[in-house]
Amino acid sequence: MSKPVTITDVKVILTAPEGINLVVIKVETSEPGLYGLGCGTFTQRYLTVATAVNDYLRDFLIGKDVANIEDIWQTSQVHSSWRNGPSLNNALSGVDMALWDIAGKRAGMPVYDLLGGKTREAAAVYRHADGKDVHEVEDNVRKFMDQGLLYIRCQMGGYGGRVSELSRAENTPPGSYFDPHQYARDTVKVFDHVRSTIGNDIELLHDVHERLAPIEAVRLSKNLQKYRLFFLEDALAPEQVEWFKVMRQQSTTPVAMGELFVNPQEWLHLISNRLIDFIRCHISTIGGITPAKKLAHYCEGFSVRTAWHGPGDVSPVGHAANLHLDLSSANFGVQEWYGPSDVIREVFPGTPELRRGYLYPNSNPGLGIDIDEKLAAKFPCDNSKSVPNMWTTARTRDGASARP
Amino acid sequence: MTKPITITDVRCILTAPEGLNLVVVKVETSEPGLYGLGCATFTQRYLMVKTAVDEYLKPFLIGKDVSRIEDIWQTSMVNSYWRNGPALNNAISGVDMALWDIAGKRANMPVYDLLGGKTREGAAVYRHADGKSVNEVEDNVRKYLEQGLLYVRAQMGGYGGRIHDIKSPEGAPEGAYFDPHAYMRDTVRLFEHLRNTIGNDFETLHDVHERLAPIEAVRLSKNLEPYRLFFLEDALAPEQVDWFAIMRQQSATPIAMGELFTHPQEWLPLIQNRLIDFIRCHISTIGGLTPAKKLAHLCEAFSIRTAWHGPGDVSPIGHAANLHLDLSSANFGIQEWWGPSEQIKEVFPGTPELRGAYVYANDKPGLGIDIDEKLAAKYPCDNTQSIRPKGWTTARTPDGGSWRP
Repeated sequence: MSKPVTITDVKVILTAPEGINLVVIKVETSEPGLYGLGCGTFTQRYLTVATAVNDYLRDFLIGKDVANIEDIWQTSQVHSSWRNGPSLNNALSGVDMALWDIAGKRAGMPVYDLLGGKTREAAAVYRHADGKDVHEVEDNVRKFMDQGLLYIRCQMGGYGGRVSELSRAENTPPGSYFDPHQYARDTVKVFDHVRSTIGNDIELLHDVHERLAPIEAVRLSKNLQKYRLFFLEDALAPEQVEWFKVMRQQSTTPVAMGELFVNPQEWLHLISNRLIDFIRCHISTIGGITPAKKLAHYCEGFSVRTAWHGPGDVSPVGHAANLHLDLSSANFGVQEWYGPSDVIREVFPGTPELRRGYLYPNSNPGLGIDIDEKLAAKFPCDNSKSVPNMWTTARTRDGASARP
Repeated sequence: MTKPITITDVRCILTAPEGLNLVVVKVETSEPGLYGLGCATFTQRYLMVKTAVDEYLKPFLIGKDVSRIEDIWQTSMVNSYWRNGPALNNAISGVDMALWDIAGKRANMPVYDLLGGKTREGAAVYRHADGKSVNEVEDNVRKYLEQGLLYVRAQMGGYGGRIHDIKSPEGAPEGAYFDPHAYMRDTVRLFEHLRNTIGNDFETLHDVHERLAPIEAVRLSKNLEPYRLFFLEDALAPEQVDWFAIMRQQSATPIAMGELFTHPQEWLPLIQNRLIDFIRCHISTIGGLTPAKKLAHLCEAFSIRTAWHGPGDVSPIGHAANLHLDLSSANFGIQEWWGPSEQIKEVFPGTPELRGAYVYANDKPGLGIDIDEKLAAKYPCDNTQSIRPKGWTTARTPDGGSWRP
């Protein structure tokens, strides 16, 4: 028996090349030059992920055999007794993806080949078009279509539809104010306009971002039926998932859900009862490639497709992991894509590339992505601006807190 | 309108008077001398809770009106966007309990009076009896009965029943090994012994601590029926809760569940479908008094009783919060109690007192408990001991497979 390759260090790299705080975990090994990278980005609480890795996972993992990915995942998850939360899951994900990266490098294979090989050459993506009025949204949809995109998400005025200054009750506290009713009305108007002007030969999506009361979300889904959405995203909050039964009885608009999921009890029933059509988890927040691959397989059993979360608060390492899952999953649906800047591509050499609607991996071993640590250090994370007045303090006109 | 009292500081106090790492949050206010204390103890990851409080909640909360407890809870929960995990929930709990403590002090009332007043004078508790053999467990149960206890939890060999010679394959990794089958057989034997020797005139309980495969847990619940348990605790892992539907079809042993819960989707279906009889959350891990009171009310509508988690990895402040809920809840069932040392009572003046079978609150305003910060500092927390690969959370079965702890 040859001597196992073991973990010698687990490092946290914090970087914000685009102003969004990212967490990357680097697992170093006893084999000179062999290391792996994983995404552990919980941008709103990145320092809690750093604490989880630096003060707990690192000491627990040093000396362990890098080949034992499943055992490391299982033992790390229960090591804290309490589990299934976003901070701990992201820390676990950073290690898990890094171990898959290492396994690929040792095998001389891209990770998608360890996961069963390519089921398609590239992953179709959707991009995000917004605007202050229906015409601006239309223009931005057309721009993406000119670039060859096949799927486009349409929003107006950002999440919750903040298109105008709202009158508010006296003495209301600071916050990101929106009017759910105005937002629901406007959203139907947007799709009416986009379908009337651009036509039907494009797939359109929309993200409710948990901004409506459950029955209002059901009504919106029903009212959008005639505009044939590819899917309606996060129409309900994770605490409200049982309402999807009501939505299913009322509307044939396809349902995508899961960006905020952290716990299996959120997704198990939705899938086994066929209440959703696309699973949309942020894979680092459920604990990495190991649980995401299992979740994809579970979904395949019920003909539910994947649409992993892929905005700018996933690091390019996380985007690469999404793509390896996309390519190797029989039940891949669509991939959210954010359009990385040139600067983030320099920090992360090997970032996947979008060409005419499809996202392509490279064929390097492992996840096929690296980090230039010196360059990453030039973009330090900044916690101060994110704390007091974040977009997550959503409020309605009377000043009440709403989910963001 | 009078000027509101605002939050001026939010601090974490880390202390381990009994060797267990505890996290207490102190919220200071614009009113001189007025402060509140809350429990935020996630002992296995206490430094994460500290980061969540120091780096995030503190700057978010300074300047806010202390009376806006509900709004602070709601906005703090969603401030991180991703939510419902143990580290963040504990941090929020620390603040939430402290704000209830402050509200009680301002009203000059114990917190139970803000929650609807006492529904009983003391909370009946259960203690934990263990031993290496059925005779040793019997002796320890008798000791508690002599002290006046009415409810005693009986275990043998710790969680998972670790009193056996384990035969593992070559090269098996380090871990806290146990044999689920031997544990299950022993447990039936233990209760048979206790009922034969001590009799039926006391209430007894047992904690599976998620150590069995689901159908084995169902079988255990059924096999224990002749011994009339008050309840069977955490028979399944939180990831397995749907299996309670099968347990319910098979066994009339009452079910208590929830110590590890962190998310409403774990408890909602169990309660609405009447699949459990007692809700047993660690209230700091679901986010404090605000969500626990709502959960108690939800349970009341389904005639489910409360049995909040109360071992040594809840700080005395958390125990006080449990007690204020117990006393004010119409659907209180029972309270787990760990038996605080003299040392910890000195660090936390006002720690509730057990007399006979009942734990009693004092009638001071707020939670009625304080912390001696100078004394607390003499018992620093230690992170190193918690990471060892042989620690109890690295549970493994004889073949070396990882198991839930």
